[in-house]
Amino acid sequence: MRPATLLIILPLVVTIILVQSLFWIPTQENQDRATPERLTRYIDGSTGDARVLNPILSSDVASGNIIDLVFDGLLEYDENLELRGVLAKDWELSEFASIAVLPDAFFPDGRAVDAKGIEDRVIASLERLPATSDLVRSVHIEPARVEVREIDLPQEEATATLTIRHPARVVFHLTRIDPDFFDRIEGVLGPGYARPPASGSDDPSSTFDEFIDVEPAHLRRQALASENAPAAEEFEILRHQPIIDFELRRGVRFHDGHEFDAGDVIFTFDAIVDSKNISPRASDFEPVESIERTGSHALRVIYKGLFSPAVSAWTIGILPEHILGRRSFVFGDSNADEPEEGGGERGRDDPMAGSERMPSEQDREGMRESPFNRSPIGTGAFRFVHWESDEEIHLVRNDDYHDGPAGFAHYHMRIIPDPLIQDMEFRTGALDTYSPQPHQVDRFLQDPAWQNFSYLGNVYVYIGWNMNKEIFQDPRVRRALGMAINIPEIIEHLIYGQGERTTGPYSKNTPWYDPDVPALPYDPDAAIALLQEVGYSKGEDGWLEKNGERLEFNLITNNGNEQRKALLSIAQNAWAKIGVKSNSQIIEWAVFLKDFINPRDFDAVILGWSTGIDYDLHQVWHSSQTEDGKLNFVGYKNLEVDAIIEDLRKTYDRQEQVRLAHALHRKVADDQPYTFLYASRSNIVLDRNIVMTENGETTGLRTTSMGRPFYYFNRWHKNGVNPELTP
Amino acid sequence: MIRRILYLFWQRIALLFVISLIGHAVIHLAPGEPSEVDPFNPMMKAADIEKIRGAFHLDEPLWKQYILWMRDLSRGDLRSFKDGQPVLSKIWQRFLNSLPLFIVSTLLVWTISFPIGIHAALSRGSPVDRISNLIAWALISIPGFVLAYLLILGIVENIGVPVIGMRTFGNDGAPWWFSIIDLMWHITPISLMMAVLGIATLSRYTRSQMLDVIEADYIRTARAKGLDESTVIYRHALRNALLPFITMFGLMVPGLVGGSVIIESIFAWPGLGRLAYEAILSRDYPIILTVNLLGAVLTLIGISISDILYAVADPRIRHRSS
Repeated sequence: MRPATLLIILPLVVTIILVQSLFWIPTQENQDRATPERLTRYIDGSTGDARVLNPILSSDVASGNIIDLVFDGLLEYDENLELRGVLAKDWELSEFASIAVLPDAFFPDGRAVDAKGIEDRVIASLERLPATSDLVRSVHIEPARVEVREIDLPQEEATATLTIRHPARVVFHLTRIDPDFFDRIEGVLGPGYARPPASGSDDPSSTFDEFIDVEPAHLRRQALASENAPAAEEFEILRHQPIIDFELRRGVRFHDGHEFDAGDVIFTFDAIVDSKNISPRASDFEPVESIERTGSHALRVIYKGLFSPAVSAWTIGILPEHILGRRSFVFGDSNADEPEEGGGERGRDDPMAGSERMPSEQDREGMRESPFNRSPIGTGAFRFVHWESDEEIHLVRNDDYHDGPAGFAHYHMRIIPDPLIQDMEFRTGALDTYSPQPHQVDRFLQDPAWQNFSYLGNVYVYIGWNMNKEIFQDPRVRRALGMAINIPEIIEHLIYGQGERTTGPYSKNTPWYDPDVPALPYDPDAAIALLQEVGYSKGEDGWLEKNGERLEFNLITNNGNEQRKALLSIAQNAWAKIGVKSNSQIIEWAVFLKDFINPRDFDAVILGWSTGIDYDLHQVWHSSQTEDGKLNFVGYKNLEVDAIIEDLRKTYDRQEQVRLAHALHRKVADDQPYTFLYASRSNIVLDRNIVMTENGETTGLRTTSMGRPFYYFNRWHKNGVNPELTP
Repeated sequence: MIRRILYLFWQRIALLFVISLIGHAVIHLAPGEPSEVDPFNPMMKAADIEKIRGAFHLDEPLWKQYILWMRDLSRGDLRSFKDGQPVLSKIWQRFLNSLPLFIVSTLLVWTISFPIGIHAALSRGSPVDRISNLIAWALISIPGFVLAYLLILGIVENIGVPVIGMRTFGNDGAPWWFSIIDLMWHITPISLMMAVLGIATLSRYTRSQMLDVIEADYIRTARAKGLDESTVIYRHALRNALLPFITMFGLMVPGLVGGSVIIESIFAWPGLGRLAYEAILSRDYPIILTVNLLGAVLTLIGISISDILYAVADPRIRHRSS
């Protein structure tokens, strides 16, 4: 053969061989070209890798997604954002309402107070009231007792001895949590009983004075501040102690076959509050006074006081005690030295046994180092298989799942940092879902090749006004500055219409958000009028000023967010139009927090909150959170708002919670501590072939009341693939 | 001859040592810290960072770090900062991934470039020559990443077949032959892309080299002898035009390491170039240093090969050196 021919033929042949391979490759339309098994897989994409697959340690989104599939909580939010049982078959809220029997105190009729007297009179008084006859389930009397407790004070290098005189208490076990219980029976003991003259001040430590002696006396303050000192709540005269009684689901098994029981819940709780584990969820469980086993599959949680947000904390995933709680947490070992016992009973039904756990490696090192965090075992709908760092996490269906097996046999989370590559992989069928960028949304949503969902995210963007600065203390100034900004235009052009106006601190798709609160109008003329009302007028140079001082401030935001960067210029321009001078600055995130937000050294700031679906806004809006480093960095202080926030925490009744939340929303909107800008929409596109089967019927995907489809993920499968509904 | 080769060998070992010293110094002097010990990482406590620094020998003086690196490397237990995996096996794995791309694209470049270049040279000034010239210059001028993105978009929009990475995700359970076909397909767009860019360059070289020799007296002589045109061009002209390509061939070997950093990154190909690139971003010193050293070794090997080939191909050089 001539060399020229060879030099041409050879590459041509190589190219043809290579290119023909494309006819064998599956595409979006023919995903099962290589293997029908492809249709049993759901392939998700994530821009970031998971960090730690342990429900009590994780705080990032990617880990959270996997944890939700691998672990179950006792409770979860249902499609209407109400709690429903998962590992808990049933749960009941009740309460111990107790009254301390104070020596030397008298009933209003002059007779000396004793336990029996309180019990009889309270019961009698309740029977006279309407609708409270069935309120009290039982009554018992805790006798007075004296306890001596030694407390080590390492900083003082001393030991203090506490003599604690617990007063006798009459404990009413109520059938429901009744925050108004003591108001109802106020007549029995008289209004002065809860605050005996001996402790006139509001200082909570003064309650201690009557009940605790400290030896040596000069260490009193330090001793009472120690974490081993008794909690102040224990000495409240009138005390609420909410109770949750959980009845757990029987026959639920962890992925290694071990049966789930109350011990696992207690173990999870202990692990969360163990300071060695540095759990980001610890504060959720701080209000728990005690947790005890009341049966192999039953437990009782008693709280220190009224704190309704604590109930939803039980949505946290439950860890397997038999793996993490014992001497070894290498899986092979733990399976070997604990053969399955009949029915999963471990001879540990005695509630006291829980406190005598073997010292495990965990006890010394904490759970953060455990290999469990990279290969978790839970009770969830999917079982963990494999985690290839920065590549993928692979889960398979738990056929033994207590709520019925999921429709997909496999779940893959691929880690693809580049959104463009995610886009390409989705369009070729190598991903089953994709979240289009705002500018892509129109194109994707109009394409009939995919099914798409759009829902409001739990995030909002705002301009926060630093109320420690004098110019922003008048709410009219904050309102005027907000009215100068054309927010609908921002939504239309900056985020391509992928957002909605929001008027207050709650997520717009929760019941806590009051849709009747009016949005701030865009009205520059009214804004100028409002500022004139405050006393500002145009100076010689055209800028607004008051008493010769110009209305001028700095608006800052963090680096790395293009939208906020654009908002900076838009706001600056809008204010310039009404004669307000502002300067802007973009600051790198760490510096932004350290030098500006935490020391409160800023005028106005553009930021966003990811709010979750909780009604408790204590961290961001309560005036106690205005100290340096806490989250109420705009320094918002409104006693009415504080009161509503505190009432919300004490209310367990949903209707009442909604009413209070709406009131809170309205108050905050009136005060305009933030100019609320918008809440962004989340958009997702999915493979058109994904359908769901419910009660034997296959239909298109359904969404929750919040517009989210993923709630029903376990029922999803690809069309044409029979979900194997029998385990 | 043997003595000369041995001399060259020792000379190059010394050179390698100098290169590794300079590489080590440059990388450690560059600003930034391995991301594992970045003091600005809010997830890390200062005490943990100190502990990790100690474990990575980052507190030692530079010369000692160099010795420790060399010691660990020679024992084979040098480990990546990022995931604690042995560096050599990681590099070997990535090397195997890069190899098929290299082989296929090299094969294509070093075959088809010659007929194209020769044809252009023979028909100098003709429309064919002008058009191929234009295309070649266009391909050389347009940045590779632009072409890569256009190629990806084109394939995805028009054929709808996955092009990213080394395999089509989610096809476990397919017949055994599928993984081979799948790998073949995923090699195709990248290696064709790399080949086209290589052909554009190499065919230009071929053309200009051929233009030099084609006017020579011995070509006229060959024609005068009555040899057919193919023999004249491919035996007499091309052989003489080939000499500079020996140098190029030797220099091509280190292309295995850094030849396709950008293209590999765009196509998310888990190759050696991408490994090095990501290691540089996270200051994973063991990986950067070792890949750098590997690059140096391959370069020196390539140069040695072309030296030897030169001697084989060109009697003038052979005779002068002996």
